[in-house]
Amino acid sequence: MEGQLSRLGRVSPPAAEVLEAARDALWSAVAAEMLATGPDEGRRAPAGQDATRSREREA
Amino acid sequence: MQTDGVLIERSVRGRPDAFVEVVRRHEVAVHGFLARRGGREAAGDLLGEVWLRAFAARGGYDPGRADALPWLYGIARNVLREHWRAGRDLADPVAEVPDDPWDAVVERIDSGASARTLAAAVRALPPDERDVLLLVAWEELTPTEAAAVLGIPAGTARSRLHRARTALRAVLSRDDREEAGAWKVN
Repeated sequence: MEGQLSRLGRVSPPAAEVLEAARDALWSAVAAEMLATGPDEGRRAPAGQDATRSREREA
Repeated sequence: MQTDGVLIERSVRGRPDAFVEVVRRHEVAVHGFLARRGGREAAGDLLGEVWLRAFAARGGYDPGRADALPWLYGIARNVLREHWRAGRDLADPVAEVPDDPWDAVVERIDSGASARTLAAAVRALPPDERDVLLLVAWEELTPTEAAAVLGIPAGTARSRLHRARTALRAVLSRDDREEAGAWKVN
């Protein structure tokens, strides 16, 4: 049964350009964050990062 | 090789580009997850959105979790559900929002009678049980990893998986008996 079920879920691998297009979207966000943070600010945690946790790791 | 957790932590601490390596590791798997449930076209459209959401949420990722794939599946699942809701909104804004349009998945399955029987049996499962079953059978996750994707306790995932497998086996064995009976009659 598990084998039959796996066969039901078989899909062919994505085209390289599909993966690249998705990565390009990510790169835009990465680049924006890199531009927004200068060299000294680069080690600051982004929004959502728990400040306490950051301090604990730095200690 | 650095774990996903280490790379994500680096991406939080001033090297956002480290996150791209995590994406490279898991992009085929996440695309497959989306394609199996939403079709290849939708998968291509939604994959970039999954990466953007994951990148934005990476500050909350526990770097002690070496493998980020279950976390990424959880994000992909949310993106897919919103996609389905948006589709339903366009078609009929007052209709009930589907969590999992399994009928569309079955329509994409072209196969013989036994595959159709199995697909119908999967369709008949409660969505909660189906979710766990397919994460284990299609994405090859452990029940504990499937639980992490769904945000439920591991024990709950295991019991849902057990119920789903039991139900499918019952349907398939009934189908086998009926087929054997048909051969005798013929």
